[in-house]
Amino acid sequence: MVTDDRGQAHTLEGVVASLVLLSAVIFALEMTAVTPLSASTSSQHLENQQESTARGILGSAAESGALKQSVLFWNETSEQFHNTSAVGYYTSGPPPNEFGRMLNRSFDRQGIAYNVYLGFTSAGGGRGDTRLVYQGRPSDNAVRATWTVPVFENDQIYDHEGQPTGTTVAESSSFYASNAGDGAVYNVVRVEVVVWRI
Amino acid sequence: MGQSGSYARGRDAARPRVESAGSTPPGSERGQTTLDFATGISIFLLSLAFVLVFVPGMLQPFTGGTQDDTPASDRVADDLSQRLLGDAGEPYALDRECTRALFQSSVPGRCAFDGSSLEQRVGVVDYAHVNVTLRGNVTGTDGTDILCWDAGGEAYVERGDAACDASDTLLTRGPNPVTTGGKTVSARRVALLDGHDVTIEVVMW
Repeated sequence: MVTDDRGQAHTLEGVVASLVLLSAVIFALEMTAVTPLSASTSSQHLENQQESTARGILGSAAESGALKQSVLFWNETSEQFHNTSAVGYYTSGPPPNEFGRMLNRSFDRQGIAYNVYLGFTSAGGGRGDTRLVYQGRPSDNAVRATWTVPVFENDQIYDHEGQPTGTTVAESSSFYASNAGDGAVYNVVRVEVVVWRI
Repeated sequence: MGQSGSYARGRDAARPRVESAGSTPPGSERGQTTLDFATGISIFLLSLAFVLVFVPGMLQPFTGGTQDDTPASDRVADDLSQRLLGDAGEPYALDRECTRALFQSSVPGRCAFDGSSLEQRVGVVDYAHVNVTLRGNVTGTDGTDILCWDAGGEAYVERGDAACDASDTLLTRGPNPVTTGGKTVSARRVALLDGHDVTIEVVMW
């Protein structure tokens, strides 16, 4: 069937070539995990910055002793962290100590929410964890940074003003982590900060 | 093709097919070729241009972009907070002397960086634009500001402090990204300097 009627052949070729180009772009976009156009309120670069900031806060607080103070910021009478409501952890703001102020300076003022969990070895040898700060369920774009703090048997629990009480964790009957070691190490607490943009 | 009605008659014998002949003699007419070509090539070029604009960095070496600045600023910020300004064994704890030396002309031998320009000290190519600024809240009262090394008082103060005069070192170096304009990429880290948590901000473009 030979004909020399070439009606819209070039137009059709143009349309088909465009479709090939566009489908190649769509395919490439679907192949990559995260692009600047992904359905997300955040970008990979911002998530990296939040994670590094969280790790920097943990590292700085560990270096200055504020992280350990926050881990031992325990009210023995009410068996919860100092100045928390009935739930036992901080919900509306950072802990009222130096670690909390560091979190506040870097995150609260920039509209970034965070949870802080404390993981430790439980009495049976398994993993236990408790919440220090809980501001809600993290979004899908949350990032995490952790730091490990060893707690020794003669480390003292801190009062609500950040001063040592004189009671060591080994003497305390209500401290959230139990004595998991035979030697001088009482327990090893893993501080986990989960950060996401509101 | 002249097969209409073949199903209505059922699948009986194999009927001979009627081949339809070409109705137009070859080479007689080429309808609208020029207009047609113009339309087709326009559609193609438009979609090609759309794809080139849509995919960022496709023409990277020929046009200025910020794609390579993203990992570079991350690396510089990581390097500064974990190694260059302190000790890799104690990341995020900055050294008093080496931190201020980054912004001064002379560098003590024990610091992890050398060279004279900021680009050489942080390890980026000479034609890269990089600005490093340290901010913090030393006084504990108002908001954060750029830090300043007070040589007389041997302490870090904020820029607005009365102790920070012209002879002291402001902890910022590199061209000002505000005045140069264009796209920038920034990376920030938190570290401990002299008992205070400070923010290291690296801006590249």
